[in-house]
Amino acid sequence: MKRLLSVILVCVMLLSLAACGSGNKPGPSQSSTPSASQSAEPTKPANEKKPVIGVAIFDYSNNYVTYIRNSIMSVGGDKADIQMVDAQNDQAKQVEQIDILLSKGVDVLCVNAVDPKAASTIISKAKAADVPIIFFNRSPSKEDMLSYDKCWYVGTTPEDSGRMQAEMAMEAFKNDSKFDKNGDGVLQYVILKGTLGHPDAEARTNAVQETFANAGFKTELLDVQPGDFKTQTAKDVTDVWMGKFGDKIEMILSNNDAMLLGAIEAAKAEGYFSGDASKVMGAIGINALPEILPAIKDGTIIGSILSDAYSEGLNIFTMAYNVATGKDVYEGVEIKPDDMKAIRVPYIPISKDNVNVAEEMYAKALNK
Amino acid sequence: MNNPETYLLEMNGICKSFPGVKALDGVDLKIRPYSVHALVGENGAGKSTLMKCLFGIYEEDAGEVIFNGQRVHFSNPRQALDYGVSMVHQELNQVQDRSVMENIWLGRFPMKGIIVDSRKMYNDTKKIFEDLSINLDPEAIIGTLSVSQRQMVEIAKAVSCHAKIIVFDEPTSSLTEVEVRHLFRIINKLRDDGCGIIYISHKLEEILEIADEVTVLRDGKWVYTGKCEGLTIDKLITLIVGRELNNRFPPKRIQPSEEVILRVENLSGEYMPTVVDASFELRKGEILGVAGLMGSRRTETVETLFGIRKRKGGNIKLNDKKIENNNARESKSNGFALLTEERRQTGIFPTLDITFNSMIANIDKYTNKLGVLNEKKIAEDTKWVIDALSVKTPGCKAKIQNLSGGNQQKVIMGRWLLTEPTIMLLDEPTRGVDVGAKYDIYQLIIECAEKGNAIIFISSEMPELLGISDRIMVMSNGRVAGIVDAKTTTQEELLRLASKYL
Amino acid sequence: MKTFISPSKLLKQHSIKDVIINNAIYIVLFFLFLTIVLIDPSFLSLKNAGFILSQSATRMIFACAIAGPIVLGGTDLSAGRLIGMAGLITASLLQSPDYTARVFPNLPRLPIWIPILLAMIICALFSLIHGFLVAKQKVAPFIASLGMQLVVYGLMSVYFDAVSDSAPIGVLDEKFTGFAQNGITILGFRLQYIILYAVVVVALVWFIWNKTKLGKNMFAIGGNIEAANVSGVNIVFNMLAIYVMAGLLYGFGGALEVARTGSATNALGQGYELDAIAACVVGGVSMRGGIGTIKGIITGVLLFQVISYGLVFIQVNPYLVYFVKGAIILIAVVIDTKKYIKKK
Repeated sequence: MKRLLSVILVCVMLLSLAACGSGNKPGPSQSSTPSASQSAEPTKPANEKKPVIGVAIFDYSNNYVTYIRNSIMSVGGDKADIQMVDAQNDQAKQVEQIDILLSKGVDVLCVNAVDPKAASTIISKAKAADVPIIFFNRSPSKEDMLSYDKCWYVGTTPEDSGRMQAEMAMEAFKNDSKFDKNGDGVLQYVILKGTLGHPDAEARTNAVQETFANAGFKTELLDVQPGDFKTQTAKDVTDVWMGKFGDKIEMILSNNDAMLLGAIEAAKAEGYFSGDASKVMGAIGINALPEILPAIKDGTIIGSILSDAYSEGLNIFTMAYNVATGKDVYEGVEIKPDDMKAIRVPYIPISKDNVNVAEEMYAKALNK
Repeated sequence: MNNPETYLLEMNGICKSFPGVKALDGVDLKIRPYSVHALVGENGAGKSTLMKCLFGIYEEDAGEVIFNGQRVHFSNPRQALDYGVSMVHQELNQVQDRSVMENIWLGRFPMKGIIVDSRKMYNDTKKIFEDLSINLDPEAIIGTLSVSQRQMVEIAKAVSCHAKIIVFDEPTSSLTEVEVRHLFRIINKLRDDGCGIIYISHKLEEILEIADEVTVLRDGKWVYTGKCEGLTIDKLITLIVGRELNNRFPPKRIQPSEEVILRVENLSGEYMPTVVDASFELRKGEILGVAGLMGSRRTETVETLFGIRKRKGGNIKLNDKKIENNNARESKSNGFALLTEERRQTGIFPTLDITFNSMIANIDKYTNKLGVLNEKKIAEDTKWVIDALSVKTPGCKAKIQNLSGGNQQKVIMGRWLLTEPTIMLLDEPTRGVDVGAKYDIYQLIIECAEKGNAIIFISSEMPELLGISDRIMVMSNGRVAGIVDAKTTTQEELLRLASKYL
Repeated sequence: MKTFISPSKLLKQHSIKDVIINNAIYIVLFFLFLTIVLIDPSFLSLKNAGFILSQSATRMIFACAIAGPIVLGGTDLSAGRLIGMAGLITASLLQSPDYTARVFPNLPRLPIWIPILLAMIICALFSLIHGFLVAKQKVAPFIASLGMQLVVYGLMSVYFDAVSDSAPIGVLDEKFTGFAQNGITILGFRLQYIILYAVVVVALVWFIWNKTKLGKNMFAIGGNIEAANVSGVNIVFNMLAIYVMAGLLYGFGGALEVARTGSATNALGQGYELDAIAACVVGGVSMRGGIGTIKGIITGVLLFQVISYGLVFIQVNPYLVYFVKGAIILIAVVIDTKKYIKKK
């Protein structure tokens, strides 16, 4: 009886899993692990040989990378056999997954490395199997990139997002005197930093400060605290700021939008961001997530910096498809490669006037 | 140096205080070589504390320890062992899943380079066993051995360290008559080899039999040291308790009626070792003693009856009505109560207070429909337990683990008395309990029977079985070997029955 | 020669030592608190007290919830993920009706109690399964809850991915965020409603622990499961009840957490169980089971929150915050062990 009950329990849980996983979505539900696709392969029509593209993702639960993988699927799902794997933020696991993909004979590898330092290992594996490789989102070193001729990179320039955030802050501060609450002509601001030691967090935080300095813009940085890129942590940190600095803060610059959401929630309890004209506080995020767009639209916050996941996904797939089908790798790619064979997709500052750009990007990325 | 007239170990003027208590107050203990020295006293008299001071578990506040003519101070049991002072514990601390020899040589394995020399370890163990005429396989796993055998291993361990002083703490509390004989032969052998033996026990008959000298402690103070020759049990009891105890067993004024209250027919348990095909009956107001050797499965019998072991077959009839007793809850509602043998394992909730330990079995009676407890009633009942059983405790909020063994046992007795049981199953209720507390417990058992309830009373101590039972059921190897009248039977008859099915 | 020490002096020495050992954690925390105040005296304000309390609110609920399984002698590593699942469910069902990109665009505006109740029931179900594995199947709680943690995380991630394409679920119904964040301000001290809910939950758990049969049975099982069995305690039923209670509280607390912070992802709740366990341990709940008080747990939560708020307030190196928290936990465990050894 006991045993029967537990068996039933397990069955119910598995069933519910299967039910959740089989929703027909363009995204990861169609992507398949190497082992699963092996069994699925015979059911495909064999008349047309599609190129096989292996995609190694560093962590499925990463929000931004999810948009990239969705874009890759929506752009190329019909044209190629895309085999996508999730390393769950574990570099050792990713190396094993790449071994599996290579042994299955993929035509090209797209790798979102867990640790960019491991790129040389991945490159030597691909080199040995003579498989071209396209890195994306997390950049290997220039040295590694140049060590293999069939290796390219698609990504962004992380400093750019910080620079654009600072530029947006300066513009808002100069154009709208309400942000200079104490009227001293100096911007008093705080930075919500991502996880300590994370390359993006460091790059964005430094870029913001450098941009201000280079522009000769007078600022006072009240505090920098890590919010781990998480809403909940950022909310707790902002609570402390509200208690410590209160109305002194003229602007919050956040390394990403998820943290900004938490900061807004904390500041709301103090009356900010809720339409009260006497309670002013500027806020700028990075990512321009769909959740933050309404706040930009109605003027609650100044803006955010859109990372163009769709363009990244499009370029990744285009280049992968090109090399797999023997065409020139850059065919149809509008952005010029730099000296380390990297395609740098530009960020787009999103403010009240161009929210539609972000909305269109998401529509394309999700193929809606 | 081995002159029997000099002392091997002297503890002089030992004092030790705990917050609020003076546990030891100038206690002396002097042990000669070639002798067995009994250390007796009620629970809480300071025997354990004295030993803990000797082994460095506690630091004495004042006093000195002289071993082999030298002033010594051990900072831990290991250091004491290196000097040749060793202890065979009441609760055996052994590594259950490892072999006998590994347990003996643990911490000082014979080495051959970096490899443990198993062959030497085996041979050395074997030799010690032969010297002590212990019949055990050095490679046997400790967990598979009986308490008696495990105790032998501990003794062998002491001998392997060339111990000069060996302390035995309640060594016979879990042993049968036959095993006690074997133990005494070993102790005598150790004595003849020149060891000084400290023998701690509540069993006065044994002490008079084995010991050469005796030291009595009472309330943390030294009371008496002298030769055992010429001492009587009554005199010893007077020394221990500090007053005269005329009778070791309280009188029973009312005889059991002929009315049968519980009938057990062909009771068998499911998983071995267990009770096999036991049939007996219990009358109103009766105390049925249960005798048997270790491993005669008396515990299994009452636990099967109470439903905490699975029953395979047989009927239980309470007042001629068939009952099931499938689990403790059901048995409880049928008016059964079980005082288990392993007080620590299955009796007390060590970290919780007296109140909690008193009320837990009776919790349903304090609960209203919403599951909320009536604290006033609980407090009253706890007070009753403390008063009626004369539990020595600072108060009802004291944690039970801070009480002495006898007082813990009284609390658990009280716990079950609160459920107002009609059938009480008592499994070794006086084990590890001092003389004074024992008398209280006998009194409770008898009072309970006099109220018309029935009691099954398991004990390994013949005198108390004969002293308070009406009839005695003897078990042998899981079967009922016979039921005899306690007034007319003899120890010889009980022993003969106990080995009937071996 | 040893000098003779009078017994009374001895007694005194012992008691001072005992007092220090028994209160060492509070002493350490007091000095930390003092350091914070000395570095920045403005830390002592009603406003900060209000923030600390509102940040502690959900954490108190989580700690009270997880303390049940711990007192039973187990642990619950699945707590954080269950909290996250509850947050995700309520967030996805309670987005602002004005927001066009809702995950369920056609969902009518629900009364807030429906999703909260739903989250509580779902969490209770998972905890029931967990309890069943531990109580009936005798799976070690550590392993059972580790398994449950992964199962729950997997399921919630699949749900998250399915409904919102792994984008944070935000822009919540103001009724819902207001349910937690609104409050009354008295002389600069802001009493958010969330604090009141926490007080109610704590009072309820205190009542169950101290005044009901379930509570007594919980301590009995944690203190000595064999003795509890012999005493006629229905082990399986009581353990299940405690686990279900924990699940209900994870669900309620998870909903409050998301209402407090305004958005949810599948990372919500990650590591919360460790914070809760740490608060319990610092508050004197023994990981061996059978020991613990609500008073201690609440103290543990508050002290942790004062420290983590205070360390951010005085802007110490964020890496150092980990060090301080870790050290506090270790001290607490050492003291717990010390108390235990003394009793032997």
